[in-house]
Amino acid sequence: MKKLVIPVLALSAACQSPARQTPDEVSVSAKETTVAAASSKGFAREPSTVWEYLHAKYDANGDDAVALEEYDRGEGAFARLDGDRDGRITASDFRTGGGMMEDMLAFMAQMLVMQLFDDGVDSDLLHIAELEEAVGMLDVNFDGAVDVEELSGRIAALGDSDDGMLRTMLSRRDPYETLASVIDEDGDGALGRMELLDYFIRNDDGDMLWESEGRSSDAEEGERPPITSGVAEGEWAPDFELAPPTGGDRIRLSSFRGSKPVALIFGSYT
Amino acid sequence: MWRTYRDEVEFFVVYIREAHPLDGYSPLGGDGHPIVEDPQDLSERNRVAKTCSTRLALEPMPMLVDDVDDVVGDAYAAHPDRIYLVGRDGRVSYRGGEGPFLFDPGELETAIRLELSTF
Repeated sequence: MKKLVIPVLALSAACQSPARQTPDEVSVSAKETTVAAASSKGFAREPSTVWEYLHAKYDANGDDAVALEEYDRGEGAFARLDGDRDGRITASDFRTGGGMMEDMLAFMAQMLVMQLFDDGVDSDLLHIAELEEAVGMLDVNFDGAVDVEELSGRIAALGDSDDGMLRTMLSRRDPYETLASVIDEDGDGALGRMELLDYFIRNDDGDMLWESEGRSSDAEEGERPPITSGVAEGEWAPDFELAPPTGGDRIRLSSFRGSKPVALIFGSYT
Repeated sequence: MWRTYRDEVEFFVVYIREAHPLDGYSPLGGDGHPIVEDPQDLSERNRVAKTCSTRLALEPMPMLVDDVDDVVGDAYAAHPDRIYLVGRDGRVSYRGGEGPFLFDPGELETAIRLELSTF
């Protein structure tokens, strides 16, 4: 889910083929089992979908499903991939089409839901009770749904937000449309109470978490140290020594002190 | 921008933790988005970083790879992506907003020009 103003990651959006898994790489990173032997024959063509990739890499017994025994990255990851929770990773666990656009919409919808329904008491969390209360207050005609008119006041208020990201988003796409595209399952143009609850449940396990600083939906809370808000301007840049991906000499940041400024562009492929 | 300023400013792409690995909490993959499982050791991450560098035509801008303990990425709160400019004096002279929405190379250029003009 990347806004396409970014050089590094925008190029990734334009990039048609995913990371190549050469036969050597597959056999090195997979276990030394028949999986490695089968997939080391190489791909006839590069996998272009997630299912193709997983199927080629892990389906050792060729039953068009990846079982937990065939997967070597842990039960947590397995469960996340097993979308329909049938205990196996199969093609039906993956949506077709949509892709990045769909994910971008999902991200925007989540942000909007937080902004529109949060009661501001504990601003990092949206509890299901807050959502219900908000719906109760907004649904002035008691039809069990929030429609565009009922939401219009709050949407208008969003425009006054000092959150730059939010304002950018609002200027690019109609917020109600974004919400409806993700939440309105029966297509009646309104956000039904049940649809909102379903949406909430699909997107979290009790509370929707939204950190205003260090916003990150892939942070594994509890598993890694808290993410700071980085290094403020004027503070010393934390020194480090890292190597290029192809090996070679490590480079120390402080080696440039006194001679040249250093621009650091942090990012990843996905 | 790199070509313009490369003699006066050191540029590094610092490759950090995957933002959307397939086996992570917000996976993306397919439909033009790269399919990457979360690298579990430095050599795996180096491989992905190299692929990224090639595929996104980042070469010849130098790239450095953060180790899988993500120490550098965490210290700079760099996830999922972010730009910093470290001044000649070793202090941060520009800290970009957090990506993806606030990642703004234009701001970096402004910061570079400011840094180079003040001595």
